[in-house]
Amino acid sequence: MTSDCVVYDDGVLRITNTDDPPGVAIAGEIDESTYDGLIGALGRFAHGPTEVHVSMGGVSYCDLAGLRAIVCVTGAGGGADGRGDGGTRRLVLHELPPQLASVLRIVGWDSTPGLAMDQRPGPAGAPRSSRQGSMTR
Amino acid sequence: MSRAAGAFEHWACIYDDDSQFLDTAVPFLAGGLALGEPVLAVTTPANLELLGAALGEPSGDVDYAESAFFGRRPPRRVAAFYRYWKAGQGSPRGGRVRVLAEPVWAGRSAREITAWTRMEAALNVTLASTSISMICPYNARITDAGILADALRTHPVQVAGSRRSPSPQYADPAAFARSCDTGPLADPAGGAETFHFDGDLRALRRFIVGSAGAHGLAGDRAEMLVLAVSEVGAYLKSRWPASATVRTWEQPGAVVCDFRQPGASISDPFLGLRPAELVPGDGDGLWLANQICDWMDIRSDAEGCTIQLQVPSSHDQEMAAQPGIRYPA
Repeated sequence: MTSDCVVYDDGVLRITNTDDPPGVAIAGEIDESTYDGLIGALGRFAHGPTEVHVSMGGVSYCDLAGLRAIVCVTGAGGGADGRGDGGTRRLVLHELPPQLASVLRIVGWDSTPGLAMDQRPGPAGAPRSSRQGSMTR
Repeated sequence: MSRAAGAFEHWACIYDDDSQFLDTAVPFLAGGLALGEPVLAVTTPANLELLGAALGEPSGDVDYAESAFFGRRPPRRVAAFYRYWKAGQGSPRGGRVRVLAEPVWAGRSAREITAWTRMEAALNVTLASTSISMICPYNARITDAGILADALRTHPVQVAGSRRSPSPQYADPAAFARSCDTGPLADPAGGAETFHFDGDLRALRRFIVGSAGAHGLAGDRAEMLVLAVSEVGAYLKSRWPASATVRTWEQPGAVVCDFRQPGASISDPFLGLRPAELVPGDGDGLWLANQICDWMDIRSDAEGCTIQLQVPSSHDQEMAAQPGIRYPA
């Protein structure tokens, strides 16, 4: 049984928790103004499950700091908030927008241990907001 | 010469003929192979052929790339070296990696020559924490005397065959890099779209989306420009009360985005050249912008600072033919 609940929504960024499997669905724009909301939502994974699914299909903008925080859910770099449990967990990014996949490759984080991409929709099933999609398309 | 891990070694080899090139390159590469070190040769197709013949069978273990394609612009070249070094960690030799790295000079504009020479100086700082041993061959037959003279200023050591000697001309890398940053930046001949950036990054992104579209940039090209521009805005905003004039325009070969922030000053000549890691570092966002753009020029003066980005215009057919060449798909 999956119970979705909105854990962050400031009108620019909306993050929905999913329980089975553990994860979040992210929609909207991630930059310094929404960064704290992202960190707060990812914080619950720092000492938690061994596998996390993040649905990225609704992300229309994500800066490098935000992408780092998401990648660090794997436990690399000290976790999303830099204070993780030091463990390694599997992180599956669903529907990663192509420009963010490019950034991952440019910066070399695509080879972070535990990180996997899946172009299929994530299990979140959260209702898509009008904020989904890209900046330009 | 210290061989400790974490000591970047950067040697220039100025050669006049094939045998001088091989006298230096072959023992360097073969020595690395004998020690089990990762070995990378980045040079011209002609020199790659020479090396293959001279090294014989072991040449099959040499990683290689043509210079023109291993980091198409200096910031990508720095990142490519760094990535190769990181991939080689965990090797039995304490992570020591050997790189033969011959820059391409023929056909370059004066501006590009300055940028590539500047990169040679920057490597001494931006790769200082790596354990790369790097020899940069310079072909004296086809390279201007001024470029050869600068090679001695940007490399602390000269090497010829197995003989190494400190370069008396070696210059402080930061001072050298600053001396490269004196040329005037591009200015729009005609009109420019102008936006006042007061710290609202979403508004900045909307502006640049519109501007990119007006200049025919769509899809990945527009998305990546938005990323670069927004990272520059975020950097300025993180350090100064944001009040920048942002101008965009198109000129032959480029769409330009120019930030002018009064009262700001950037003194670090290597800002945006240090590879970003999962542990945050100063200027990571500018590093990404520098990877995305063909040019990121920074100038500071008494009144403020300018950061100018240039990306290929919609008329660039290289990207049309090979979309992944700049933005890996």
